[in-house]
Amino acid sequence: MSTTILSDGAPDRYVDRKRYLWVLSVVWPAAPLIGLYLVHLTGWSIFYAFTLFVWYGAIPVFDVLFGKDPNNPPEAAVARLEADRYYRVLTWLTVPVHYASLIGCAWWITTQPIAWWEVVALAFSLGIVNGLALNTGHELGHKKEPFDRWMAKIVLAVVGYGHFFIEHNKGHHRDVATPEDPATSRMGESIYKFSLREIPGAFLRAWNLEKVRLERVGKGVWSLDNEIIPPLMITLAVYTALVLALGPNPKLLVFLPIQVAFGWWQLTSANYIEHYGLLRQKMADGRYERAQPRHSWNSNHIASNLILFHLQRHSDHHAHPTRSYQSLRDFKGLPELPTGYPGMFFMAMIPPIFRSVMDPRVVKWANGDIDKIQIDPARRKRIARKYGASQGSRLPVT
Amino acid sequence: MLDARPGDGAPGGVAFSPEFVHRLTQEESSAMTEYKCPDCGYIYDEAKGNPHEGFAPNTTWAQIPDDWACPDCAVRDKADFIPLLAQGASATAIEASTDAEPFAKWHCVTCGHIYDEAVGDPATGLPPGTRWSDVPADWYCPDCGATKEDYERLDF
Repeated sequence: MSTTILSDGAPDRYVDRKRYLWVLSVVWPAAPLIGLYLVHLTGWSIFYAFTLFVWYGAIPVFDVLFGKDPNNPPEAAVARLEADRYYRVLTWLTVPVHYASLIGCAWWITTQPIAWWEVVALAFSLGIVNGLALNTGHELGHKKEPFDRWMAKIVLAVVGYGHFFIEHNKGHHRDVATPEDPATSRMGESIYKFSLREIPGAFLRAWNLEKVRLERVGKGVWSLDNEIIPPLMITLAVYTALVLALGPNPKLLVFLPIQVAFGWWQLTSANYIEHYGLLRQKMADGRYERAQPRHSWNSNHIASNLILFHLQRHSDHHAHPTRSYQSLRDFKGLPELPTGYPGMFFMAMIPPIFRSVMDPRVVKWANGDIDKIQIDPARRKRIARKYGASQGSRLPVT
Repeated sequence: MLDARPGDGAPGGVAFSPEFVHRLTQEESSAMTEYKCPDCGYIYDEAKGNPHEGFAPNTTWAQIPDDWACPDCAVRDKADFIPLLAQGASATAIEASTDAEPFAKWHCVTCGHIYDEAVGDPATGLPPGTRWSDVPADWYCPDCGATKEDYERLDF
């Protein structure tokens, strides 16, 4: 388990070679607008789906081509990286880009000649980027400064998911890799089944967390102090303003819900693959063992990490949730995904392929002990049979 | 708790007399007003409380619900928090009384967890002031489960 973090550079000599590449995380949310520009240039309507092709097609190829990321800041350099304002400013700059994409696409639909199928393609493209709004809100929402937290709420409002700020930080991080967590998927559970548990479960958990807190404060849930309500009001205001400003165009009214729903689907995809099948054990005192690095799936592929603010270095993120993206590290021996999130998201939509790739990894992770796996109860017998567990609960490790 | 029989330390380590440990515990119970999250460093100050979380100023630690988690990182619960003596008296008191070198920090090369001798790790039975040499060989990283051998000394 030994790595050599301290020996690969003295604290003052570590150079972050990804420093300027992080601008990619800021530019990428403008991808649907780049697609529209390409439509304008070429007249080819295929570019309405530009973002989809890049996300599900090109990025997984880049992940293969560019491979894994050898850069790892030594622990001693973390304090300096954390204090560097540049990285924070990048996350702030990402927020208006998300609004620009939403407003730009809505404007295009209501002012340019566009076919129905093109509207749908553009809605899915913007949906991908809305998933990234959740990623930006995720990074900002974990910060301690009130300004960053407000920026988180504003960017989450783009995709109508303001409750994520509460749900993720106080709910998911606490309950991760336990049966209590609606945002941890179970082995054998398809993403479609998972989404029916995850989407409502996340909202209810956030609402209950705020309810408990507000009871202590002595206020009701229907108050502006409920942190779920202000971002919800921003969402309603933004979408109402869009419809009022651009007119109740039927194409716009179809476009808006699709791009929101597909944005939520991106979050569901992330939650689905990040902890699939992993389980924390209960200790004698009834608490769960601490969430350890082994309770998250990681991908150290550089291409996808650069447009995701290092989200894929997920184990370090869960070990230290308030640590900023630029300081997250990769460790040897962690649970590893075969490719970056975009490729995994695509795979997740085809359950037989996803299971054939991930289930053996989960079994290996648990050393073949079915009781150490978080498993869909409805599939438990079938999985045991498939892996040929003839006696006791041991599954053969492949 | 750390076994604190006189002369029972590892070679070169520091052993506390039972009287000293007892006195320290007494001081803690009367003077302690701050509790720190061992992961993200959030400090709960009894005098200030945390009105956003529904704890008015002067809400004592004992009044905080047991299932309350750190409001900043949420990955540590009340039971994990480390008591801080007023004006950092804890570390200074131990250092002065043992007439030893300054406390050092050790860091887990696997996950980055930092063991600070001044703070100890009360959740795993190591009171503030426990020297690295006094940490049992079978102790493991509370964050990732790596062994004591996986720690390196941090020298800034």
